[in-house]
Amino acid sequence: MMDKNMKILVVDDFSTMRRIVRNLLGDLGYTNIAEADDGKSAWPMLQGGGFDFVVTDWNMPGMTGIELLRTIRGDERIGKTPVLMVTAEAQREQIIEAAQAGVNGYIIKPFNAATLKEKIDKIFQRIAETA
Amino acid sequence: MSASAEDRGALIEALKTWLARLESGGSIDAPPPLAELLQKNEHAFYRQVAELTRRLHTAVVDLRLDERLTRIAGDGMPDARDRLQHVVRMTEQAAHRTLDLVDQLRVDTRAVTRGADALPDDDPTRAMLLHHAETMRERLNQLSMAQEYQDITGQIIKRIITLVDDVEAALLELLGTHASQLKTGATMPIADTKTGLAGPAMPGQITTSQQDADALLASLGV
Repeated sequence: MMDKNMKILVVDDFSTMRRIVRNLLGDLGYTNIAEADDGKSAWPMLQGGGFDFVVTDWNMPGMTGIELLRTIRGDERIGKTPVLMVTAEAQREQIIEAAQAGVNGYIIKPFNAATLKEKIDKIFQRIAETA
Repeated sequence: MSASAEDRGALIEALKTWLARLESGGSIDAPPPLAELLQKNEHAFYRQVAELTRRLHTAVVDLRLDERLTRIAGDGMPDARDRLQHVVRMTEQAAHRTLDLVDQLRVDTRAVTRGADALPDDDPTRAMLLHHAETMRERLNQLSMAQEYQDITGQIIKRIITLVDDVEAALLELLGTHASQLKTGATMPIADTKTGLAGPAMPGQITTSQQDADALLASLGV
């Protein structure tokens, strides 16, 4: 169902978290992973094309995750790229804001491997259903 | 308090003049126009305003001269920031060291699996080794996941560093002229660092669980 070779961009300002997410994705069989430390450095990489999925933190210096999400959604070419937000922001308002900005999934830190797998499965299941 | 418009205007002007004189280091006594006004009006209100103005100024002057504040702004705050940044760096290094070891053990675990796979299917050692390798793989994942604390605690500490920066900037501004003699040099404007985000949940704070978030997202069609 899901292409294990899909190209994933992991965006987080904490190198530890990027590594943990990369490890988890690797354990789920995804190995085609690139990293960016905030939205600003992620954006040119995304524009370069070829990314099938974005996993991003919210609170980052430079460009935040929500700004990155809006920028992606506003782009004609890559506007439909699925975006999963993984963030410590656990306020209702933030979750609603992310949903309204077009997020495909929202995980609250601290999280576990099962939650990550479940959300990724759900995102691509939905995409398959609507395709 | 039924001062006429004329009295009011005159009072405001007199107070402004007084304040300007106090700020430029002039005499602390009320200037003649204000003294006259105060004499003319028996009203206790004017006296109270005048007294408050004088006390406020004295308080600010006292603060400016407080050496403890100067020390806190000049040394205490930068020291607190350095220590907190050091904690973030140390936990980051420790987390990466742990993740390095997890990576190495994953390689070892895969080697055990390959070795077991090479054994005959009916060898009981094969099943045992494969079982242990799988358990190790699962525990290594948990070990990696546990390093998440570094991101969460790091975010909390970085917020405190921002607060320390703000307090330092505010103190330096308050200390005014003394700031030039401080180690840290020129005053900085208070940066607008507020992102409007609540940050990682703290004990006792009402926040949303992953289940609550899922329900909320589902209601929004995500």
